[in-house]
Amino acid sequence: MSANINRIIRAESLNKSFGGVMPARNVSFAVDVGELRCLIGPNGAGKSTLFKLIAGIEQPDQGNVFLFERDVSSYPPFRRVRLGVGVKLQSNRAYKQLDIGHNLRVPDIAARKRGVGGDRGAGVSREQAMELFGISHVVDGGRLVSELSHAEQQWLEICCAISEKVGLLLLDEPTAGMGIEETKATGRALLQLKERGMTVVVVEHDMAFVRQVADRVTVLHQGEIFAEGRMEDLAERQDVRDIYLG
Amino acid sequence: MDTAPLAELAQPIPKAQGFFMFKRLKVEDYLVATLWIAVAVYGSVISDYSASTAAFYILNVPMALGLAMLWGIAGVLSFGQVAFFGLAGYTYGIIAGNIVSNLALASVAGVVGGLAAALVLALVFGYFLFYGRVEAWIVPIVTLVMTLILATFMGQTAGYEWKVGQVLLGGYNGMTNIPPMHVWGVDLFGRPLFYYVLAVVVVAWLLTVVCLRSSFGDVLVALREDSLRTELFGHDVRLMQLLCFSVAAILAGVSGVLYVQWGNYITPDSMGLLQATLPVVWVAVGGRTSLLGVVISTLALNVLSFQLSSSGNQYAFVILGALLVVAMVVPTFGWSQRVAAVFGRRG
Amino acid sequence: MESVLSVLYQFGTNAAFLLLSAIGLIVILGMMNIINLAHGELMMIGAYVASFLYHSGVPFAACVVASFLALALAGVVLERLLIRRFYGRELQALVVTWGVSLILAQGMLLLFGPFLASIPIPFGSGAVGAFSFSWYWIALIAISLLLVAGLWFLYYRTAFGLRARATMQEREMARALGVRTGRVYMLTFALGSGLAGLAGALMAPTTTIAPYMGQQYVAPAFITVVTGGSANVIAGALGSTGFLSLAETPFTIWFGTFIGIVAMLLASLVLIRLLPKGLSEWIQRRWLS
Repeated sequence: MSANINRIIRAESLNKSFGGVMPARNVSFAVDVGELRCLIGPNGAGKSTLFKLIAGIEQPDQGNVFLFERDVSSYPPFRRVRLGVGVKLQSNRAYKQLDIGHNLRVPDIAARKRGVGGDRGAGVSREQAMELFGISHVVDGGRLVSELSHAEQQWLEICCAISEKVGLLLLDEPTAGMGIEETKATGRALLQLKERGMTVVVVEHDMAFVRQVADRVTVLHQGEIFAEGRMEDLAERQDVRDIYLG
Repeated sequence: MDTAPLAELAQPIPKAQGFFMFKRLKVEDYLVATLWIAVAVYGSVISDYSASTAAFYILNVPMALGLAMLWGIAGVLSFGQVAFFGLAGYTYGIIAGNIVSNLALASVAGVVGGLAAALVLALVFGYFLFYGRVEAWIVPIVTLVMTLILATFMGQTAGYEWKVGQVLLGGYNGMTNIPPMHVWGVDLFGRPLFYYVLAVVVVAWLLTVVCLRSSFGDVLVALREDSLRTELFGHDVRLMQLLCFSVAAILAGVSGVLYVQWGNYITPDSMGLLQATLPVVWVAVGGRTSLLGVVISTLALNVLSFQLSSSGNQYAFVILGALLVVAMVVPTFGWSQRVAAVFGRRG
Repeated sequence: MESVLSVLYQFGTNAAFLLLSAIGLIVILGMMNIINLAHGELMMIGAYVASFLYHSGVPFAACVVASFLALALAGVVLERLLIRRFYGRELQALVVTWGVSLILAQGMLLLFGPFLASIPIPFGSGAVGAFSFSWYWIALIAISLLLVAGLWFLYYRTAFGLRARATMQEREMARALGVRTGRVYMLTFALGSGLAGLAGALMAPTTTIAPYMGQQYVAPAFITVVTGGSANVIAGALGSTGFLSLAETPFTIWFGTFIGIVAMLLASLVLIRLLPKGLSEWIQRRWLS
């Protein structure tokens, strides 16, 4: 991975409003290379919106987004992904009607294209990722995704987003619907990915999980960045606790 | 819903050897190949006149296959296939009708020109359609509008001022005296025409099979299932839709060119409201995603309506309409695919 | 002076034609998202009903009302038997309704032959200098505006309208709040169907009454509804007929009907490209919120 990028994500003054709601108010946000950052906040805080603005699924009314120090503000999602980003959306969105082999082929085909990723990838192959998540055994291809357990489906989706060329992984609520052990296993796998050089940004609700994995945490509230820092420090703060109760 | 027989039919044949391509072929592809052989044999035993009629049944298959790829596989419903059909047919008529010195050159140039015209329209209109962020349900209507614009425009090209070179466009009555295919010093009619049409249709079918049983086809299906997710893997979804739309247009153009080479005339009605919905009917009844089903239903429905209307039977369209309603209400993928699945089970 | 009146008259009649073609579909496509390809046939049957009754001695106005009721009833039957299986599956609804349209059109041809006795156009013509016009078309312009006003009142000022709009926007939420959504869908489809029949009856004196007469209204209806968009069907209806007629009229005057239609179609394409959610969404954003 090239050494001259410090900030893998940089968002400046993002503003977004629609239908009378303003889910992003002047949000400036940055993530360093190799970090594992969690985005947290109560419902409606704007976490998903920020996630989508970074991935390019939504366009801000104002502001810029930089990925790998490149201005991607005008890039549609697929061009941002080709820079070396893996994205897993909220809720289980695997191609349910297609078998597992087909599900894995689709991201493969994209990853093999020339000019994708370059030296920005963390060098973790999909097979290695599947080992980390403990689902190497599902690659026998012919089964339908719906035959897997819920957690296995989530892990499969995360692995679909990973290839050697991916250096930044964006996950929206990866542990939704998982039990305690499965959540911990997910956390361990993400930490190992981080050790291999992957930058990971996770939108999460599960505080135990956040404590397990996060280097730093960004707290969103009513469309603004309320606080940023290490989980231990923020957990002490009364005002952070309050926004969850208020 | 019992998908077991369909799933069986869809699995690649396990012990395939040879080129990498062959591993991706499905049982139904071999069945269609057999069908073409049967059709070829049939063409040798029937009369010359029957062969000419049979050519008409077959020539619509490429247009249907194009829509199967576009709608069944990629999930984009278009009423525009007949626009490309008509544009290619008229273009062939204009080009071939103007090159009077060299008949062979006339037909070849006409074919190339017709397909090129269809491709250009597809690229232009497709760009507008897929890069314009219109919602999915608007696509059928907008493609219908495009088709109607062409049909309406051609409908008012009556009169001697509407000509290209020495070919009259003909307005509502259409363009006549369109030259047939001319190869090796011979104009193709009857049985030779039948075999020419069959050969072209088989090539068009092979093109469809190659497109679908490849990584392009894999991504098209993914695109239909969840286009955002597919884009988030790094696929240029809009470009793929445009490509698919263009290939479907070329296939429709193939049908259009074959049509004018068969009948030597074309009217704006071929792009009218009724005609525009026919490919949708064929593909819907044929099960949308099954090439075997689509080929069978296109052939069967064309035979049915031709026979019924030429025997003066007014019930043709009522039956067609009822078939459609039944095909949609019966909550499987359409009767042709069920029939195909039965064959798959036995085979 | 006369040419100004003539242009205005053309604009008005083109707009009224579009509005009447679309009024039934506005409800069914605009609100329920059902791509009803049998729309033209519903109008045709409305014209047929009117013709039968008229030639049995019923006054024309009553024929029109009867057409509305007959088609509303037919709409209930259609919805209960077929349409309700396809909510959320718009493309299949499209294919099914096309099948229905084939059955209806061809069925009428088989039952009643290629033509039905026509209805003479009421009220006769008037003239201002060299410019002559049809009073009936003036009446149609007024009636179409009244119909839109009536729809607006129904949907924005009555309890039914509130429930209907809630259902269309958020079905599960509406159901949770006690709205009988199945009934709303049925009544909405019946209303759309009835309006199509009504429009068909109104248009009957202006055209030949034949099994495929509905075809001439289908494309204009869809284009009007799509250009208008679903954000606010009333604003969409008015905005889009105005816009489309504005595009069509000058070209019809200069180059004839066909070119006028082509111009209208092109205008709608351009508009959809610029405003993918339709005119009404833009109107709502700019002026209504």
